Amino acid sequence: MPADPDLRVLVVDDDADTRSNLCDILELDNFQVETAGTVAEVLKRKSWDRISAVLLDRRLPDGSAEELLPRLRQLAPEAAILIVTGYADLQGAIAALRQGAADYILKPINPDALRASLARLAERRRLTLAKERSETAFRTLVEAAPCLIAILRADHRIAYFSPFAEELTGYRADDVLGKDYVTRFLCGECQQTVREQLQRVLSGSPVRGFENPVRGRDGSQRWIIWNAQLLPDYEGEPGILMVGQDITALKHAQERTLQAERLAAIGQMVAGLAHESGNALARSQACLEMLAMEVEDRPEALNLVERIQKAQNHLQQLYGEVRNYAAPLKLEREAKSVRSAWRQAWANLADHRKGREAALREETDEVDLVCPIDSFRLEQVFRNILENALAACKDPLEIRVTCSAALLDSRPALRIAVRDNGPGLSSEQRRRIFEPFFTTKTKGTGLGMAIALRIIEAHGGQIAAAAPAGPGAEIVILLPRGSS
Amino acid sequence: MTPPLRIVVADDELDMRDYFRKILPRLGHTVVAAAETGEELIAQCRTHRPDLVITDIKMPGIDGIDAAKQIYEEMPIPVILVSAYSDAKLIERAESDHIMGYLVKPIKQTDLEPAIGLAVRRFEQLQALRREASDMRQALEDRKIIERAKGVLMKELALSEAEAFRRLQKTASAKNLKLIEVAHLALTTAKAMQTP
Repeated sequence: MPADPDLRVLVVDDDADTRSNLCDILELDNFQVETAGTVAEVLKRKSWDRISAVLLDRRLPDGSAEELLPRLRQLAPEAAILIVTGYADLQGAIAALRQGAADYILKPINPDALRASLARLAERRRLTLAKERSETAFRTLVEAAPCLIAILRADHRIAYFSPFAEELTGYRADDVLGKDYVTRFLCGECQQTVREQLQRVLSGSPVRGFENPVRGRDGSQRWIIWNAQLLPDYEGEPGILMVGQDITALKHAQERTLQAERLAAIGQMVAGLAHESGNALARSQACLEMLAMEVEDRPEALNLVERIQKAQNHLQQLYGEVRNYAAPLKLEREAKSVRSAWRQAWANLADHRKGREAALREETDEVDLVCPIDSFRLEQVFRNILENALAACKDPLEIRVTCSAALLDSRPALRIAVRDNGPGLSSEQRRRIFEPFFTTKTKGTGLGMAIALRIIEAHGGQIAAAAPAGPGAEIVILLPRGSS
Repeated sequence: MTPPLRIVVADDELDMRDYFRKILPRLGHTVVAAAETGEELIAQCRTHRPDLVITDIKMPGIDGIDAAKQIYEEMPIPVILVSAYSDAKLIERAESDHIMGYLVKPIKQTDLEPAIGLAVRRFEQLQALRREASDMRQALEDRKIIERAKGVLMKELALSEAEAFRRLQKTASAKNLKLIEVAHLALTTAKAMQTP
């Protein structure tokens, strides 16, 4: 049998003849051989890592094999130690085996017996290495898998907890080993069902695709979909192997889709409501005007009618805005200066500005302000922005409209920034300002900026709330130059 | 100031009919009838020949727009539509030339007053323009016939153009007829003589 070329053998014997005899036998079998004559010589050796077997004479001039063995096992834990002994020393050899020697060979040495022994060692070593490799491979697989892998005992205590499980839950394996999986990780309502599933696994039927949330160390919940099966003998006891995947993102996406659908349905309903509101509002308005005529001579009754009229007007305006938002947007564009739109919007807000100290400043430098716009729609956009500024800021209010040339999708565009000197927008407000029905005002539908967004997007442009350096809120609009 | 008008209104809602009955007199007008359906609106217009129609669009049976169309085929009356809806399709249908206003419900007295004034005035202007156009068309038509009559005279009596025209004029004043009538006569006579 050809020897493993990795097998390097150290021969320790004080008798030079025996040494050279052994060397001859071993080298014939292609082993690499090194030698030593005394315990001292052995202990002096620096490099041990390539020695895979040691042939150790039972008696050495400066010590016995029994004395050297513990030391040797420390120096070369990987190496198999064969004790070479005379018949008379058999008891000692057996003692050496107890101390961890791998085998013993009787003197005088029978080459075949030596070969057989070394071959056994080589085979054992190969098997051990193969097992180690395979174990390492599986361990690496388990530890690298983006899966929650856990092994539970029959009583649901945790026996193994994978690194990904640690990452997912925020618990170290050391914190949870030996703890009850169900009480540690599951919320009240799903504890019972999961225990039932685990019992099913123990009784031999695997579980596939079971979903439940798992509670992490910080109290956050992750959704897991898991498979589990019985391990009949995990370190001597039956165990449950659980492999779970994190599907939290998927669950959230599903929830968001559902929410979006729900909102869309509500939106359609509201739009329908607004669309059908006209007749009812008309009748209410008609009766109110008739009532006003009936009570013309009673000032206190007229005052009440007026107050109802105000409420009616408000309702009408709200419905109008909803209708406006729901209606399809059709632009009538022509090349026109954007300035006309904001100036018109500012002029139309004269009533809102009455008694206020409010100024609109323009910084347009040399920029060409002509874009293909629906000036009526764009005026609506500016009206909403300016109205918000008027509502949010204390006097003296100053609104600054700054224009500059810009690029939008690498095509020429006009950038219009409208900035006020009020309290500004929080990051949440900046994020949500264009959401329908989002409002910070006590009056209004929260549709103003949502409509503005629709109008700007219909122009092929962009609108966003900027985070300006310094105080005030800033809305930035990008309008493409070319018509699309 | 809009002159007092006789108005027929139509709406399937009692509240709205009552409203028109009460408010329009305040604005100096008379509601001569308040219809509930398109059919009734047409019938009332035939009976009363009003100065103005104010009608809802969505009503049972014939709707306001179709009723207005039928009325206009029989008599020129301006129409103001009042509707809770302002969908593009409705507005498109309402773009025929006698619809003089489109008010979106809910409406107020303050919406109604200028809308009525404007509708009536626009309609008068439109009618005047129509008459003018029609007169001009007639004049053009007459002129063609006179030219042809002149041609006949020039040929039959070997007259110059000026003489032929003078002959037509003389005949007209002698017989106390219009120039166009004489021209017609001349052409009819010429045709009769041509017949073998």
